[in-house]
Amino acid sequence: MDELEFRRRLLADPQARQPEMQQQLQLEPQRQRYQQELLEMEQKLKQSLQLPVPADLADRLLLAQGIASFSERKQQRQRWFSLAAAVLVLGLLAPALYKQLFWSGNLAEHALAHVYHEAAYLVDERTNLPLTEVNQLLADFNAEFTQWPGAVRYARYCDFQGQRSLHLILQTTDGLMTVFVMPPQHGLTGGQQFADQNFHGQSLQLGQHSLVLVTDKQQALQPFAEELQQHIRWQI
Amino acid sequence: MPQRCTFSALSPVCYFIDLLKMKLSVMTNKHLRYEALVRSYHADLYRYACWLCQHKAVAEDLLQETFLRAWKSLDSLTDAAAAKSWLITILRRENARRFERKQFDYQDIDQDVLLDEQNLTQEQQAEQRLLRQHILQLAVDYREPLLLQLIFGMTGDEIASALELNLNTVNTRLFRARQQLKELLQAPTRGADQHG
Repeated sequence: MDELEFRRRLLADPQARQPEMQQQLQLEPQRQRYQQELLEMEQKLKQSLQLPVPADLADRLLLAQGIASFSERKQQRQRWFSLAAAVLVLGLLAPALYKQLFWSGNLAEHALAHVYHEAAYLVDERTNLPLTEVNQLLADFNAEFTQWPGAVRYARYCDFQGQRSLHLILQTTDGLMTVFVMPPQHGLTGGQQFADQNFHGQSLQLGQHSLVLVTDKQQALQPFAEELQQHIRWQI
Repeated sequence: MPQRCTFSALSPVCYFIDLLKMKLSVMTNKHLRYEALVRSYHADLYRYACWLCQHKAVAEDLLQETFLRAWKSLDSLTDAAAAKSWLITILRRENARRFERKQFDYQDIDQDVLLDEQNLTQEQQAEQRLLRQHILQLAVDYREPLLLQLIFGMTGDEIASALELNLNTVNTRLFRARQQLKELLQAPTRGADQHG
């Protein structure tokens, strides 16, 4: 190894940690003196680089981490809380929203919709329910038929905008008549008369009870209403 | 290991409690490891950061960011022997990010900020001040491998992998850095007569 290369390598690492450099040092005392010189400079350099470190730096670093991970956990918790709160609110509001969106609150509209929805398949011409059976159902509304001249084609409890009502389909001389017997506090708004292209309807207030009649012939409504009032008896 | 309940109906609860305890012990373990890491390396890293960015407050910020990042990825550090170079890599990356973020030129900041009064004679102080100025005069490319060698006692190979350079380049830079320092020390500079 020539002198230039040796000095080059010693300047790169004055401690001469590589074995071959140690060998080279052993060869010539002059080289050892050069290394000594460099090591002195090395010592001074090291001292110069030794800046004082603030005594509380380590603690400050640890504190910063503590704060950072605490606020991270807090953020995570807050995220979960807000998610839970959102689910809760949605859960509480869902029924109300459902009502708001899908129930019009209008008696007439609902009555017509109900008839359209069910008219197609409810009625079987052969059915003629015995009056006692109908009266059992009517008993829930404190009402009964004393008698009824026509046939009862259909009688069942139905959900009428969240209200339990009795859905009757009666045979009259003018065709089929749908009757909804509503409980006293049905809380629905509706007109006395209503109609669309196919059906005509009327709501009746008999004491505390509401009846909603729907048929396809307008002229049948009034006589039917009168007839119904004759044959139905309200208790209390 | 945590004690197990014997009542079987409670065993899901116990299992959950065990899990919590384990999680807690893992957490405390992580904290202990982190604290050891901070206490072992903060001083050298701080000095390195100071010499790298030439400003104490910036160096301290850099150290905060470095250790926060180290905390986040502490799980990836499996070899204790690699901790030093791992931290240096993070610090260098954070330092580079600092330059991406804001284009401040910290080189302009008064370099005397680095100086501190120590128990040295006037003469030694003057000498040290001069040496520090010379170190700061080195280009970062030359200064950085020198810092790694002198502050952390890293070998050429370690420096090469830390700086992602090949060994020859590192050796050349170390050689040039010292050569330049020698030249600067020998040059007749203001207040450096005794180094002639």
